[in-house]
Amino acid sequence: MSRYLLVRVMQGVALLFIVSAVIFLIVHSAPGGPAILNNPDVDPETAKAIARDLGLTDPIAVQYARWVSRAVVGNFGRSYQHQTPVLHLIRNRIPNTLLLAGTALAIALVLAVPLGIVSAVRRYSTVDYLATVGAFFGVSVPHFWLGIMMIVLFSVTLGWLPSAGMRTAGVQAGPGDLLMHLIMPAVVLSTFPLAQLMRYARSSMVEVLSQDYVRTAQAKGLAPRRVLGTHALRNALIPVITVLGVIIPRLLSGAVITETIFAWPGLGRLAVDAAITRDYPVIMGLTMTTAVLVIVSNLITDVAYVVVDPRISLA
Amino acid sequence: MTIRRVALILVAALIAAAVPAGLGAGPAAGNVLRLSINGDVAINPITFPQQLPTTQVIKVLFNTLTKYNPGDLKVVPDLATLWTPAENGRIWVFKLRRGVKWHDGRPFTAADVKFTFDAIVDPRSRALYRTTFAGLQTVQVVDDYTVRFEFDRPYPSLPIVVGFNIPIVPKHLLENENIAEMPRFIRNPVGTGPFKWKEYIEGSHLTLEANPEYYAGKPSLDAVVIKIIPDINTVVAQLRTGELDLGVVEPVHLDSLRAQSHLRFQTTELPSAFYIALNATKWPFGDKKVRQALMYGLNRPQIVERILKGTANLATGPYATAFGRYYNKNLKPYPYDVNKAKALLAEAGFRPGAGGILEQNGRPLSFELMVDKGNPTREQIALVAQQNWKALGADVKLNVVEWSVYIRRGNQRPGDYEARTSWRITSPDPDKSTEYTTPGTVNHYMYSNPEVDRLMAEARSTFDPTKRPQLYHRIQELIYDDVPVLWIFYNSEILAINKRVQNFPKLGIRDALTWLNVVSIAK
Amino acid sequence: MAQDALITPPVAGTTPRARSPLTVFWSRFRRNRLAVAALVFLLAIHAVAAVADWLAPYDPAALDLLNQFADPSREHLLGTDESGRDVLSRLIVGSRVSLAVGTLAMLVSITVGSLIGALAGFYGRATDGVLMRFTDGMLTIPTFFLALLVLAVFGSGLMNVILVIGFTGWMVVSRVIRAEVLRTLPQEFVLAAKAIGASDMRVLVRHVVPQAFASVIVAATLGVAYAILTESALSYLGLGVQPPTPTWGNMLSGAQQYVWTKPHLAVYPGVLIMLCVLGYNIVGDALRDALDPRASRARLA
Repeated sequence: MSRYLLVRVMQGVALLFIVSAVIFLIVHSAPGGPAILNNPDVDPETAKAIARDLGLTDPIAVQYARWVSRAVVGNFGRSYQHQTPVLHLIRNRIPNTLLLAGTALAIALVLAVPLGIVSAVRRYSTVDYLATVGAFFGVSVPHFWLGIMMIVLFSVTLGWLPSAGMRTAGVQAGPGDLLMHLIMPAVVLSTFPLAQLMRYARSSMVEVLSQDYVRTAQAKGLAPRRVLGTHALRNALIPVITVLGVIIPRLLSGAVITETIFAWPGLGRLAVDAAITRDYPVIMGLTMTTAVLVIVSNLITDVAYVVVDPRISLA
Repeated sequence: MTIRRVALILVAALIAAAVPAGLGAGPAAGNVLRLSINGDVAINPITFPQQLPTTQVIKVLFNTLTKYNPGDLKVVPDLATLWTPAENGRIWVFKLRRGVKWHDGRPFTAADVKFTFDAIVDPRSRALYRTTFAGLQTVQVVDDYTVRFEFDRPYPSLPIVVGFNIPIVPKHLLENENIAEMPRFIRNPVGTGPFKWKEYIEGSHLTLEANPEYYAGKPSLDAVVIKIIPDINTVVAQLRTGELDLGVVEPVHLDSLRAQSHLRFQTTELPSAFYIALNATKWPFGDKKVRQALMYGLNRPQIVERILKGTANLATGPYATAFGRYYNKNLKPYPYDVNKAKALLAEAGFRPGAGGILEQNGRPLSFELMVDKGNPTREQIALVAQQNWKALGADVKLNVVEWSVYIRRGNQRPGDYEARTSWRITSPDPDKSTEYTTPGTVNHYMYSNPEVDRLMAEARSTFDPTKRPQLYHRIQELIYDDVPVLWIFYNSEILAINKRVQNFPKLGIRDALTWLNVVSIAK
Repeated sequence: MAQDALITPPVAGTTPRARSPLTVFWSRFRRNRLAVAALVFLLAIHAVAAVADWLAPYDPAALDLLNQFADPSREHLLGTDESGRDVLSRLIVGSRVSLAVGTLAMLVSITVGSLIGALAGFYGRATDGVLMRFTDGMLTIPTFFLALLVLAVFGSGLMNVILVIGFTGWMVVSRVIRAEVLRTLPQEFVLAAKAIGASDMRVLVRHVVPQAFASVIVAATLGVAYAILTESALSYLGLGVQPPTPTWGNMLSGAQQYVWTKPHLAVYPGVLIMLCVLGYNIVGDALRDALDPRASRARLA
């Protein structure tokens, strides 16, 4: 196990280098340069001086080497726009994005697994039919449209939920306030993984139910609940765990749109701002952060896979 | 099944947590003013990173030497109480307000003013407004409350200029800092303004609390909360729900907000005009007749009425009414006159060619109109121009580009474009040498009229209060006839304000933010 | 991108060869009435897109500022938008741009994915190692972040949008193809072809690729759905296909400004996007079921 982990970590580090080089090349080779140099109020002479200060006049290989040499010791530089260290910016926003994405994932799991199982057990029933149609809508509706419609309905028309932000600014508020702000963005972000997980849970349960050992158990006269609980469920959950590895990057992608609509102070919005203003240090910092998040979650998924399925060993 | 149990517990927890918070998401913000900015801030009052949001917050935290009076934009005292020129305005002596304190309790003195201006002109500071003070030779501390400025030539506009984005910064906190970056100061900025820095939750909001020792007395508000909201639709939603007290909205939002009884609207004309620039170095825009024809052939009244919903006035030139006595009110906007436009093009040698496109010596009247993308109003105006000019026989290609491309191609001399939409927001300083004289640094459309050059140079060093406006009026007549750019309307700003907000100054949002100490909330 | 769609778990297995595979497939597919309806809808909307210029009652770019926000009438069946343009005409012409973005982006990702997957699977060893590590690397960047990054720095013309969506959606395709190639290579008919001296290219094109066809067609269908949705999301951030070229995505994003007073303007493109994406997802899912013997075995059970 420890040997396996070591290999995986080494692979992960190699991946980080590839990803950083590709992204660095993409953003630095684009014409135009960062927004701070394209400010119509900055005179050309000052703009040139700023570019020199930031080392943007050096050859790209030199710039990349400098970035790597600092990044390996944990220095991601300062944001051009925010004028603060990139790590500080990211550290402030990571918990918010994890809270949003985690809640969305929790909503998805809590609803998807039981729904998928019920659909599989009662195949071609009304429940199955509705769940399938619902899942198709879940993956087909544009996120931003759903978000805006929810704001119109729940904030403006009904006045039930705050329209944006993470807390009521300027007043002392407890966790209830945070929760009220969390509901709409988390629901919007959960639609996609919910639909995907449900379909996965359903098809894998269908498959498990057709397996010999389940049928044997049924033939032995075990109570249906017992068959489902002890035999089928555990095996059906294995593929569901693997799909989490695909869903987590997808959640981070979805957070970009969701956080912008709901003014949620997370990594997604930071990413949009950084891309539009070409804030190179922030772009690189975010790329590394998300890559690490994805690599780590993939690793956890794989380990969980082993834990759940005794037939697989990592050696 | 455990999963079902977990689900039940989670749902129960969600409900339990939500109930005490109450279902109402309504206001109840007390004696606090809630407004919004569209992005994060970095409070460096010399370099202004994150330009617009930073500028807005700085106006609440800091003071300038002068500021602009609500309604008429007259220059009035702020940190300076009196300013007297010598040598026709080459030398200025500013008397400073006594008893002003920085938010950390230290007294404000002339040394701070000198420090600020020295920092701005020092190229190492990378100051945003360095060029405004390019002619500044020395700043001298005469005594603790007197500063003397000396320029290389007369600078009559100085009292206006120092009121525009030139906040005075504390010497005692910044003298050993790197001015271009201010790593410590931006985390805890200290100004002299009516509100002081309390809390900044990145990506979420800022809280600025009342400064009880403000020189004009403790503000009526307890605090100002500035929310960071990137999407204008969210701003509109929060204005409707009462989660925001004021916000700048676009003409397109007016229809939906007007029905809200808790809102009122304040439209302010800014010292700025929106225009389509025609690059004189590109054929055929070197010809005045062609420029005039495109002006006559553009249905500007319809643009103002239909796209801007009547919230702006037609422009006669670069000087909006906000320039006060420098505005020449004898000029009348060019009318929409298609026949006149066609006649002018015929005079310029254009004849109908293939496909109804006009030609001059076999060369079709075809050009590209560059627009910055993302603003529906500007995109619509460009579409109207395209359609109107097509009716004259011109083939206009729209090129909607990213901001960085727009700036890079547009802000060089000569500009790398044929025609583009543009605007400039400046202080109400009538000197427009940079925009309309031959060597002007932002004259990207390469307008050149020696008479305008001469008059502009004369006017900028003329101090005589009757002669100076006359010179600017004459300049406007010349520019009006030359049509270097097609002015469409004077930019207006529409502010939607919750009726619980009282005494809000009649100014654009940027200038209004310098007067928040007088604003109050209805009990 | 295929990975984002409703994937049933990947399965291995061999195709039964009793009847012609196409007949088997069609008889299976036909049984799914929802999928047949979705297919008919998609064919209809593509037909509309094909003759869009002829069908549109007005020039979709023609402004009429005196007739803004007109209600539906005989002249303008769905009314007019904020610039007095005919909404129906914009939807019709927009369908062509949206579907073109979807289809072309899908072709890009299928091509890139198949190429990388086939090369990796076929040559194995170092080639496989390098290509698959590259694929893994691409998968560690949230694709939407990558897309928005590239469009923000290089500009978002129609071509760029297609290429970016295409180049961020090929990774799952390449994995599927690689798996198919690895499965096919050791089989007898491939070994036989190699033994009689067929070139690598010939083996790949004639024997290996056809085996992967089923997986590719499923990935392609779901890929179109992904591309249409992504274009609309990019439009929301102002990075999609630029106005005045109408697409459903930028019409929907533009209609946001009027959501309080003219919500119907956002409903039309929103519903069309949803129906189209829905159609592609349903057809893709049904195709998988029909092409995948394991799934049908489960169903028969």
